[in-house]
Amino acid sequence: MTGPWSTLAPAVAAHGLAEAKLAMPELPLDPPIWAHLMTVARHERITGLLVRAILDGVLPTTAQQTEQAELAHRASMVTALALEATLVRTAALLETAGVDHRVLKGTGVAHLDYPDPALRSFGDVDLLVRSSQFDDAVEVLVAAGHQRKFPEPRPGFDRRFGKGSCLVSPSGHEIDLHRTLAMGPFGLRIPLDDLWRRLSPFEVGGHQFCALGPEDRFLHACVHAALGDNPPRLASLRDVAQMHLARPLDVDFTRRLSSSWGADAVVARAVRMAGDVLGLEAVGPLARWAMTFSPDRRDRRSLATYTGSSPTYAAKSFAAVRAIPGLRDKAAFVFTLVLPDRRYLEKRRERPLERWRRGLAQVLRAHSGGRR
Amino acid sequence: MTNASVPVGTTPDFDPDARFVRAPEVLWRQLADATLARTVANPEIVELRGTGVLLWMALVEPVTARALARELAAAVGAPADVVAHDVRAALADLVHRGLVTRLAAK
Repeated sequence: MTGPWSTLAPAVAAHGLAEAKLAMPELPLDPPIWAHLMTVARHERITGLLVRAILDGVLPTTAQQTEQAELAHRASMVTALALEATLVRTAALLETAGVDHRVLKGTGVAHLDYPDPALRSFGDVDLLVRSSQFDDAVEVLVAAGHQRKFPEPRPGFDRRFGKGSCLVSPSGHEIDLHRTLAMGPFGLRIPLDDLWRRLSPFEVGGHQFCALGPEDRFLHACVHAALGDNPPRLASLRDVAQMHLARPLDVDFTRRLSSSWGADAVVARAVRMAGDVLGLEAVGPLARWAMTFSPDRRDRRSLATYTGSSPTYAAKSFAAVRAIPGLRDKAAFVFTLVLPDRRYLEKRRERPLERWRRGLAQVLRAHSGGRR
Repeated sequence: MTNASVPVGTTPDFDPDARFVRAPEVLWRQLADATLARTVANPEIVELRGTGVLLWMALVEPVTARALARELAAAVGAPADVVAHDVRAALADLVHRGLVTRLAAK
């Protein structure tokens, strides 16, 4: 949506950052504009920042508007607490079965990267498990009453090639079990053992958890913002800004790590997007580097599969083929995508021939898009 | 969602040296004017408001009911005996809900 007030939600999402320069209104918003801002704030998961901006006196509101914002934020925090309870129970199940894990995104970021976890809303539980334990992890959770949202294309596919699997807990919450941090070519480039070398401990509900290390967490925030939803949620862009502007980050190490993940183009895109959308002054070495970074042809083509006009599962998957080492693995990957299990197709309501043709059309479209 | 209540007419007897602290398994968030808390096992959300928020903040470290009452009475400028009664009742409620743990006297 465009208009003179379309920068309102980004201004809220940037609230509290010293580099923020988008203006807030000087008077309480008219009801229709306020209603729109509330809808956006809920969807973009920035109700905590909205309430904070009101309390800090930066965003003028009527008493009724303040109450509405607080109610929306309260609802979001009730969800966050329920998700944390699910996280504790899920972690306990995995630990009993000897499955190692790291907390990704929402809960970890809320507790480690924001001065107050109430500033960060989230909508699911994200856990990283090792490829070698991926099938065990799914088995343990399914045995405890969790359900896979989608079956695997073929047995062992997720463990070898996938980003992960989504399961639904008995309490109805989504648990994203990750093997890597993104699907497609950028996810397959990440050296997975590297993700387990550094960690940040934190505690939730009396349970000790580990998240990725600070620089790995920042790179993951960039991966999520640049390659996830298109356009990304404002909360995802705030994470990127929060992690490199509002807390210390070893920039040299971050740059080395980014290069070793083959993710320079992703990080540059995320930092630039966070700056552009949230209206941040380009200060600091990362922002300056991102402004001048130019991806090579291979990265431009890879990025296009995520960010083009129709970023699709098939296009990302086929673009991933180049990142898979070895002819045999490439062949197994392509074979599974073209001819997955019948159960998988039934769940997605597809027939084999339709899937082949649709996938091929998407690949060709992404391919020509990448050449533009 | 439940508001932590003070049971009318009850003044639970506590060991005066017993100390109270937030239960380790509690999950909570501080909002603008309230604290939301629940346990991992029980989905019921308890909402603390007003002096309940101050009480929750003070329970970050083990504290006796008497010290807590003294602190809160000073903070809100209320009669110490009234606050002491309310604090004991609130602590009993929070312990019952599993949000606060009672530690043995030192």
